[in-house]
Amino acid sequence: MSMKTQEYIKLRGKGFKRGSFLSLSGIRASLWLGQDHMLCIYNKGYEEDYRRFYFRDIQAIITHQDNRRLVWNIIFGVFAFAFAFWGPPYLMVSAFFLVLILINWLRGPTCTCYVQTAVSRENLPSLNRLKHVNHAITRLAHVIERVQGHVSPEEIHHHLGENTQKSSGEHIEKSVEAGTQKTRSAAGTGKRQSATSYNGRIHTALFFCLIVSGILTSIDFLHKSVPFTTVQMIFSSGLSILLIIALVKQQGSGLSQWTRRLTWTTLGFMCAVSFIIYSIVIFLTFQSKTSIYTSWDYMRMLSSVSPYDNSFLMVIYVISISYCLTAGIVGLALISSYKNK
Amino acid sequence: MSSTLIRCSNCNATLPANSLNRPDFRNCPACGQPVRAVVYPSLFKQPDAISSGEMLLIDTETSCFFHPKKKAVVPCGLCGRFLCSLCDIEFNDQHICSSCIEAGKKKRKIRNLENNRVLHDSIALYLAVFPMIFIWPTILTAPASIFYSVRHWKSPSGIIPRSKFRFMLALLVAGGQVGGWLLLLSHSLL
Repeated sequence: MSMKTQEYIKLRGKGFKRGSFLSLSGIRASLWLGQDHMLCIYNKGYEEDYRRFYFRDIQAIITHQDNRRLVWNIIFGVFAFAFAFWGPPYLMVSAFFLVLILINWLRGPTCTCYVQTAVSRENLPSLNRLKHVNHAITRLAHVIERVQGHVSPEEIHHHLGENTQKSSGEHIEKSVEAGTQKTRSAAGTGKRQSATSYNGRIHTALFFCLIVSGILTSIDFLHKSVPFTTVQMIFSSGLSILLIIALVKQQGSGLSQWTRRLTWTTLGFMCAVSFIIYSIVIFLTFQSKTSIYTSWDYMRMLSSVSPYDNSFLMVIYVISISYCLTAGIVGLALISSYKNK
Repeated sequence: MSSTLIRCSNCNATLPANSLNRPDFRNCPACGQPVRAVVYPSLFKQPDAISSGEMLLIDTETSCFFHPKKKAVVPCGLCGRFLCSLCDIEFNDQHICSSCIEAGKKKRKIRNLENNRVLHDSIALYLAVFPMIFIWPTILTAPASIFYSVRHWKSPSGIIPRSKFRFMLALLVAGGQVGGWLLLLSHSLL
């Protein structure tokens, strides 16, 4: 009887390859276990790229927990909350987002996993959940130990003990000085990258503009007019551009983790608000009795909608004003403390 | 010895030795993020010293094909050329010369050197399905999808074996489109 052996065994987990900043690459990654190597497949849809990690070369598998699950749950939660206020027909959309939260929650804690060899440290995008990492490490431990043997804690202490103590002491000091910045890109490529001398000017401008945006929204909330709505829309577009520049600038800079998080959260917030406004525009266009031909007609229609007439809009306005003012003030405080350091 | 240090994947700080190979996550001393590092013996292995090959002492000794003045130590597993220790590349449990590796990569004869493959079945399916959104392009894309499917039916797909399902689906969808257009044309002509 001939036994057909499988050349590759799939390891659990799938994810998307993270490229550079904001690259929604859509490159799906999966991990496969071969006879003498681990194969990472990046599927672009029309072609596949392969990356092999031979068991004899794997030095370490490093995993760190992240809060991606929490971030996504907050984003879904904002949408679920916003649609729940809109009215009974949109409760279905709200329920959809609640289901997404549930699925995200049930999939377990998120993490980022890297495999280290003598020449590189590569991210394994498919191992993005803790349970998948645990499963993969269990599977890999057998095959790698079969090839390389076992390493005892004494050996680790013998080889790394002195170096680690010396080096970690130096590095902690440096990290604290640099505001414990992330060098994720450096970790991904295996290269070490020093913090760039970024003085936080773009972030200052961004947080200042956020405060201005909060004030503009407050005025718009109280007094509706077509020119003012237009000004506010133009200002929001400028703010989006500034936000993108800030996100690019903070890569590899010495900004604190909280400033970075706040910038990313602002991006999430702006995306959510843009999506909601877009949905409102679509909804109002269909409901509108008058014909809409130009952008000016759109502006007129938008400015005619008052938050006092619609509870959903009221919630959006209150959230927007609160977020813009809070994030702006907190951001400026963080930037000023960063500059003082 | 700095290469044998394990660094936090989040902040690149050096992880202390007592936090390695532990089943639980330990907070990184620098960034405070929970980190777990599993290390293997190759971390402590020193790289093998590169041998430049022994020089020929007697003329009757077999010399390397690429370096006539150096002593051959092994024949190439693919082409049979004699190789000195400098030219000998151990790959897939075989001793191979650099030119065979190069040729194997180009002609895709050595599977483990392949780092890219085109998914013809997916392309055929996309060609059949996506133009349906605009309807009219299917006049051209449906026959193109059929041709592509037939042309690449036997072409190697991904490294992980894939069924012919996508090709069959592409043929089915494209065939349906061609049939539909023929029906429409015959109706309009009659």
